Amino acid sequence: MHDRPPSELPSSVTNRGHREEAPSSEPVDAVPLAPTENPEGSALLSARDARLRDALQPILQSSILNYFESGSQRIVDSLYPLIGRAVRRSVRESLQALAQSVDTTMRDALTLRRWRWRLEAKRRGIPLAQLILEKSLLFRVEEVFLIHSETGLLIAHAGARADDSRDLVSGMFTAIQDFVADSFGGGAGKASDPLGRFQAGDQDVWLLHGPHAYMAVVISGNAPSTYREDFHRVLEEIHERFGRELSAFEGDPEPLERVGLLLDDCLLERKKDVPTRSPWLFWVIAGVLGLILLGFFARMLWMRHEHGTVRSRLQEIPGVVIVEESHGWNHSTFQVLADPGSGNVRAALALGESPSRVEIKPYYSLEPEVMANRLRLALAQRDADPQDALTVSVQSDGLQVAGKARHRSLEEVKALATSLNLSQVDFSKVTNVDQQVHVAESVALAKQVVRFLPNQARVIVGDGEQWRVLAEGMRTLAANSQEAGMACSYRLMLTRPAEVTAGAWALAAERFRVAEAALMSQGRGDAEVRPGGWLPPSLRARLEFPDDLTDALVVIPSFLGSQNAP
Amino acid sequence: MQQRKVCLIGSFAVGKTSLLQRFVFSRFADKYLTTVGVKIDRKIVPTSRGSVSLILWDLAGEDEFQSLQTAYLRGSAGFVVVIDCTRNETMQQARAHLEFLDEEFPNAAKTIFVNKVDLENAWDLEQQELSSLEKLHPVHRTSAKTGANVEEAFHDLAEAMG
Repeated sequence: MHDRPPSELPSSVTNRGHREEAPSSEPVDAVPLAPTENPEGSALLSARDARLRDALQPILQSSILNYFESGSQRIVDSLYPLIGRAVRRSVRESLQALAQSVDTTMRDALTLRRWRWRLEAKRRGIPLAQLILEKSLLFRVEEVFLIHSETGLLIAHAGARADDSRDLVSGMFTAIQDFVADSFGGGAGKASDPLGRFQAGDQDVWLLHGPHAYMAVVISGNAPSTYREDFHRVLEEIHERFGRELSAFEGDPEPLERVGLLLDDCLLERKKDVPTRSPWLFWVIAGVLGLILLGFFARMLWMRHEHGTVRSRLQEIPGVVIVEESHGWNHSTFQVLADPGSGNVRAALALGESPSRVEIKPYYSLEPEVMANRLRLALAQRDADPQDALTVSVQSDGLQVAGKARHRSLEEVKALATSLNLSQVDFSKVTNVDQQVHVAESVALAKQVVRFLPNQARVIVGDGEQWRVLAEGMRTLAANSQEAGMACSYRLMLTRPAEVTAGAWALAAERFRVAEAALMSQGRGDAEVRPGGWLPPSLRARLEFPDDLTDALVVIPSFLGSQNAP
Repeated sequence: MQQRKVCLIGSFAVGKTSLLQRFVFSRFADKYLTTVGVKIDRKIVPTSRGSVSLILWDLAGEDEFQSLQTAYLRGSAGFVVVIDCTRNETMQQARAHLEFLDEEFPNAAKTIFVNKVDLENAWDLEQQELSSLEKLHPVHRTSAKTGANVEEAFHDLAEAMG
């Protein structure tokens, strides 16, 4: 009735102008339609409409009730798509309200993933809770059956299953529903809510019912119930597009072959989210790794350079031998042998904050220059006497020490050289300062004379004081000779007379006795004193005695005497 | 391929399941297993109109404790009412079934399988009553044990279902 186009309706209903132009015999048609133009007419029209409504109401009610009772299934079938949409909208709104409530409850969650989901929910314009449900439930639609409600025969199938068993499963789905309806729904033929879902093992079977066929959706896992709406929509579309074929279905699925394409759309799947790295994170990580690698290589290059620099410095230091070396990305190591003559190797390297490490082990080099350095350093480090002034040089045949030094210092230096494994060192060019003094003091002592009276053993007047001078000189010289490292003894000598006669020897002996006694009495010291005969001309010349000096006694230190001994 | 739902009904132990075993799997077992609820099998049968896929619903047999599950009959294009030739009361039950089916499913094809004909010595059916049934519906004398007439009976039903 509702499908009738307006053109088929009576013109008196559709064409108001015509109704105005052709008044009927009824008084109501004579009343102008615009109430504002005729208030009395408007009131009359309202009164007549109310009577007409009261008269028609029971008739219409009865007719409608009768129509629904006689063809209720047809009406339900016709209204199914509309009712389905209305119900779904209602359910959707209820679910959205629930989701909003859950959303509010979970709003304060602050996990990173929750924030990401919140952004996605905002982007998609859906409540967060709905998105959380979608993300949390993992499922796969294994199979979808479209089964004829009346016969239980399979109309179409999507999913992996052998052809043979599809029909049997379809039949069993129907049998199960029949059993449930018979057992719980008040028996066959009585209206009841159809079975909507059941579980078989770990699979969930959703049953969605349409006027002519129902869908059995076999699901592994937990599918969000919101998908039920999607499946319902597919079922509605099937009924819309294939309603005639479905109502005429008697077991031949050929006219409904294309239904399978729609069922294929129901084979949904949600796998577990594989945590994927977002590109920016990848590039950040790659960049960081790249920087690390770059830094690593830069560090390696720098370390190589640093290592080479330290090696060059080590090679420049005399007496340093590199035994072992290695370097990595963060260290540089040398094991070297260093002669004491190399000095302070670490100071020379000036490593500072350098990562290079140098392990030094001592050794004695045989290189002349290194040996000379070794001795120079040793001399510089010793507590030298102020009179010491020594130099070390490399000669063709070894080291040579030159200069001057106290006798004690010289002895120490010689011992030092020995301890430094310097066995061949020439000290001949070193002047022994103490010996020089000793010689000078010896000469000075030797120049002191005591003159005797001619042919007598008595000292001339005025020279008696000389015994004291000589004795003091002998004590001093004896004391200094120890520092100079020289033995000290004296010989008493007389200047040769012009003519040596036999009595001259006796007089000389007498004079020696007098001198010994006089010197002893003056405290000459413990040094050995013995008569030495006549003063040799060479010594006389060295002491620069005048030629006319006769009958004089001199004290000649043994060092001087041996040096000038004929 | 055309599909047709066929229900096998009858008293308990008349051989419905054995007939299907013979028809579908070509085998027979002496061991008796009562059917609980319904069991469904499938067999493709060639007919003059082409092959037809018979979806065979083997319903639990009736006894004094179990009545016919009519919910399972809905949508059937054909019915096989099975009688045990050694028990006359199964024919009485079959008659009641057929009256019910004629009333509820007037357009469906119906056929009667008089089963266990291999047990001739134990024949217990009243011939007169059987003849009266034969006037209303096709009757096939079958033996699930030997396989006699089983294939032909189902083929005739498939042809009759159109």
